[in-house]
Amino acid sequence: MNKINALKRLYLISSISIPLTLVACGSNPPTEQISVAEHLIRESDINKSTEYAPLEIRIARENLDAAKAALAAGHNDEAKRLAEKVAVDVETAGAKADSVRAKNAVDELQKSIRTLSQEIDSKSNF
Amino acid sequence: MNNIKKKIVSAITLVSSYSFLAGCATSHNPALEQAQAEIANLQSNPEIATNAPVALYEAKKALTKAESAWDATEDDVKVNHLAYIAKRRAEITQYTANRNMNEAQQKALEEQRQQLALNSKTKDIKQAQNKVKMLEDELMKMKELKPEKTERGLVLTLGDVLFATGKAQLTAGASNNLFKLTTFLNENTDRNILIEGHTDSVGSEDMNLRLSLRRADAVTGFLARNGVDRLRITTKGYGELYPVASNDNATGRQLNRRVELIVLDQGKTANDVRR
Repeated sequence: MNKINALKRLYLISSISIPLTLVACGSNPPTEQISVAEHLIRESDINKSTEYAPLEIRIARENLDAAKAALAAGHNDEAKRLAEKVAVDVETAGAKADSVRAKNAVDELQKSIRTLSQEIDSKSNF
Repeated sequence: MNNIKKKIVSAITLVSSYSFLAGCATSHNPALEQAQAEIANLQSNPEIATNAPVALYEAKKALTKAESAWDATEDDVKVNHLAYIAKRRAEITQYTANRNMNEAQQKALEEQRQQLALNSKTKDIKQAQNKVKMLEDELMKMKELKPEKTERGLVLTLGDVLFATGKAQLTAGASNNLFKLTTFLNENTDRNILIEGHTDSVGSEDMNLRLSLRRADAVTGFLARNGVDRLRITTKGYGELYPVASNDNATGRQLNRRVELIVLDQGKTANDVRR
């Protein structure tokens, strides 16, 4: 009884781990993910994220270059991870740029309110 | 006895094996710990949960994924990667919250500015009204010109004594009064002026008509020379048509010989108040 159970377990483990190893070894080259990452960086240029989040975009570019290098070297898992990093880098840059833009709009409004208030104050001196 | 010994030994083995396991668990991944700290920090800030709930949820999910990978494999390469993603998600959460807070403030400021603009406009209108009142107050002070508020506008009368007898030339006294007037008119360029000449009934109608027009023209000329735009001024001569007193005695006739200068209400033209 015990022996049969042990055998069954061994079989079960091997049946899972063998295909897992196969997947790890034979993972497909993430060409599509890398081209998506490239596209994201191009888009961030258009959205002017670079202006407000230059460091994040710089890192994204470096990660993209590393991803391409890893792909060329056949390190598909590494290439895939780097492409994922690029995507999240660009998203961070976009979020940062949006927050800076919103802050600038607030500053601009505050400035115009100050001017307007001064105008009104000078009027009451009449 | 033997049994007890055995139990003690097995207990010791158990404890030592646990402590060995615990030793394993204290090995750590700095990247993961940093991500954990950052996300814990975000979670402790109620503003984040209010202003970036979805981003915070995504960050927590990314962190859980990294933690599970750590618990399952302790594979540094994989865990470092997932921790990187989680840290980025934490940054995105912070930026998103900042942005939403700023946008909310933007809305409030926008309303404030609109209110201010409205106040400013109201003040402008009040100021304009004040200016009108100031002008009229000043004109009303010019007693020599017998200022009078009428339906046609503010009427000032240049009496006969302000002209050379039977002529259209203004005396020095008239010039002084009129000069003061031009200052106010130049400061209130939105007011048009109607100048009407009148005479008594002595002499021919035709001559009176011409004299009244000449006297009115003299006033117009004076105003124009002192900077009042001619386009604002309408000049009329009515002769003896509109007496203000009896022509039967000298006092009445003197009153009838006059030039009326009417400062029209804002936006009115001479046509609106034509006799």
